Amino acid sequence: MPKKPAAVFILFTLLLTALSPAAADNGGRTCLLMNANLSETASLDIFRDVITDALAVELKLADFILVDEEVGRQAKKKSGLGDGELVRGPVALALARATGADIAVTGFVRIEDGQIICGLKGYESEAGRLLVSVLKRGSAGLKVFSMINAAAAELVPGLTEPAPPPAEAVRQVTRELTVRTLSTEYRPVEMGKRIQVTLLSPDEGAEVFLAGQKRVGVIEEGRLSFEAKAGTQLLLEVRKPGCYDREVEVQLRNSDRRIRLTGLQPEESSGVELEVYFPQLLGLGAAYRHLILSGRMFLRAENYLYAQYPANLINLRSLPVLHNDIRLLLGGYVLMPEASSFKVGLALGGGGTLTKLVRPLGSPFYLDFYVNTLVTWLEYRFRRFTVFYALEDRYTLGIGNNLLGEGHVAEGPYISAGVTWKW
Amino acid sequence: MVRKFILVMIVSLMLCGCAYIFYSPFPAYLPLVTEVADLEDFIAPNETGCEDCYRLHLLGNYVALTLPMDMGGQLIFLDEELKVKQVNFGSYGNLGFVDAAGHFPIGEHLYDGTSLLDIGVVNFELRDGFGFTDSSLNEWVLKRVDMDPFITEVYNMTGSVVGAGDFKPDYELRGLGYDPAALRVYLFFSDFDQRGGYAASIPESSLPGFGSISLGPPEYEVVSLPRSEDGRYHYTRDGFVAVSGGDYKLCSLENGKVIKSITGIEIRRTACVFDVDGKYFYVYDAEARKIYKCKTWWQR
Repeated sequence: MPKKPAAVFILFTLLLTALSPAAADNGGRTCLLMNANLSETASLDIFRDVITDALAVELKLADFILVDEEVGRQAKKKSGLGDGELVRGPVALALARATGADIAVTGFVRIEDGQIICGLKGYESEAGRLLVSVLKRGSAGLKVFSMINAAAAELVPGLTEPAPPPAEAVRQVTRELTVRTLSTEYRPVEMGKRIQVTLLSPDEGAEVFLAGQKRVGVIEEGRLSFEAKAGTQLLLEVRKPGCYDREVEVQLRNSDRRIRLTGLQPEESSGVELEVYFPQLLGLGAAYRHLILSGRMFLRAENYLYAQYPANLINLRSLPVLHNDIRLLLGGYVLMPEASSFKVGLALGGGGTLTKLVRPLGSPFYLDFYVNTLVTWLEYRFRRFTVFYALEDRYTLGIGNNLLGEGHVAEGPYISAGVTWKW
Repeated sequence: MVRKFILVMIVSLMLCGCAYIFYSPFPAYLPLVTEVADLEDFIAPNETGCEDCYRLHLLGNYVALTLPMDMGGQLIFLDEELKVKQVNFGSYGNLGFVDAAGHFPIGEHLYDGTSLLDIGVVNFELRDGFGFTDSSLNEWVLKRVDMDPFITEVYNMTGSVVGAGDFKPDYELRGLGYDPAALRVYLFFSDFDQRGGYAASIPESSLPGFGSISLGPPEYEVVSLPRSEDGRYHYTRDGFVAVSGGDYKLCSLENGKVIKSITGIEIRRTACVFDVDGKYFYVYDAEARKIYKCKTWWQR
């Protein structure tokens, strides 16, 4: 057995049906090709197609006629069989009989420890016996194509040679051999212990895909159960409209597994925020954040009003000075995936702080313009809100009627923290 | 992850400390301001990089701001409401005090304290060092303590030196306070490593001629003061004031311990002066070219 299920297997069934017994030699019989892909890695689909094409070529050269794929597909659908069951000889024979075919061909390809194993079998429908079996093994790589061609070429003559009517005893032996051969060759599929995997998720209606390709099912009533092979590692992708897709890697053991999935992050376009600044704790800020470029960047408009006391609130000789800070930031998320709950952002921008002295009466407003040369942004997202923490540097421009002059604001950096209510 | 985030927040708050509740990215004295004056029309922007070249003096009913020669050599008189009364150009320095007749010499000039008339050039070097007049004497006498070398001199009205002395405090002299009511002089020192400061309380009669002194008991009372990077110490009757960066600390006259402080952003180029009564202080912010009159933060 491969150590990892990534030693993935591709399994396919080809049903080839000769529909016209009146054809000359082997010719005139119509062949139906049906494929089944049980692989966990879609990238290996190519082998299924290569084998199908190779067989089609060889069968046509031998005057077999390929039946339209739709006929086989309908027969399979009617039987209610799954893809994995098509590789079993009795099943293939049953389908062939259901479509009136004389010949059924099954095959599989598997990659294991860098080796590719390709197996093809041909069954006679009427007698229910194995006509021919070909098993090829070789190293994975470009050689696989020539190996598949060779296997197909080797299979077809066995189908075209007329078989003598077997004695009853012989027929019985043949059937036993067929069963033994099947069980041996499909061991990677059939022998792996199947366990029940149950996904628990708050995302009702979310679709779950295996390796981003094979649809496993839908979360209903908070759960989704499916069978998987024990000891394998699953790469699940959970998708739901209006939410960011999330990939989850799960290592299965030998027993049933319940996996609690964290909720998907809703796609957000805007949010309002409440925040406080250090060292301006005697204040409160509000901001509006709008996401642009599919959520990768954001624009943020902010207003922070705070009072400044000299030392304590009960100093009767002091009155608070009020500062109102207005600014605009442009930021982008970096490092972390889009669906990650934890995000890192960088931003820059600028604004102005409006100050009004309480005394002397009639003193003017002062305005200190500044730029944010760098704002480092950390946030953690929950489903409906986000908490954030930011560090920033400020450079005051010293223009206009200002209080701070020009230069970096000393005693920095500024620290802000808050919560975003998003939608 | 959430727990880590909350933990980081809590640790950050603890590191910030309670002082940050009242900390501000603006100067700490802003809530104490009672008057403010914009001097942009009188003073050019400081492009020399000089950070410790402004001086504020309280002379009678006037606030005098001096700028050194490389900043244009200005002397600006403002009244207590911070109205500009007079702008003079010339060579002015540290020394400014009021004599028994209400006149004040500043730089090389002697001013009539009533009408701000420039009476004439004085004959003694007063651009550096610190000085005061002995108000207990009827005669016009200036006592001066110089920083480098550490000398003390006594001038009479004609500018003649009538007495001199020296001292070796082993520290750097950073300022002088004088309380005419207590007849005491307060010399402020910083050690050369800037680890802290000292205030030596010396009877006026001991100047000059205290010779080679060692600060501290039994000869003189010395108290340790908090560190001030730029050695800005001031005397008020309520306590010594140590200014360091954006922090302003009132310290006990007896033991130098901090009584009450305010904290805020550091404005790099400032000068400040405190009245001896401890009711008001004045700050000149050279970055914004504004001067503020503020109530002291310890008054109720």
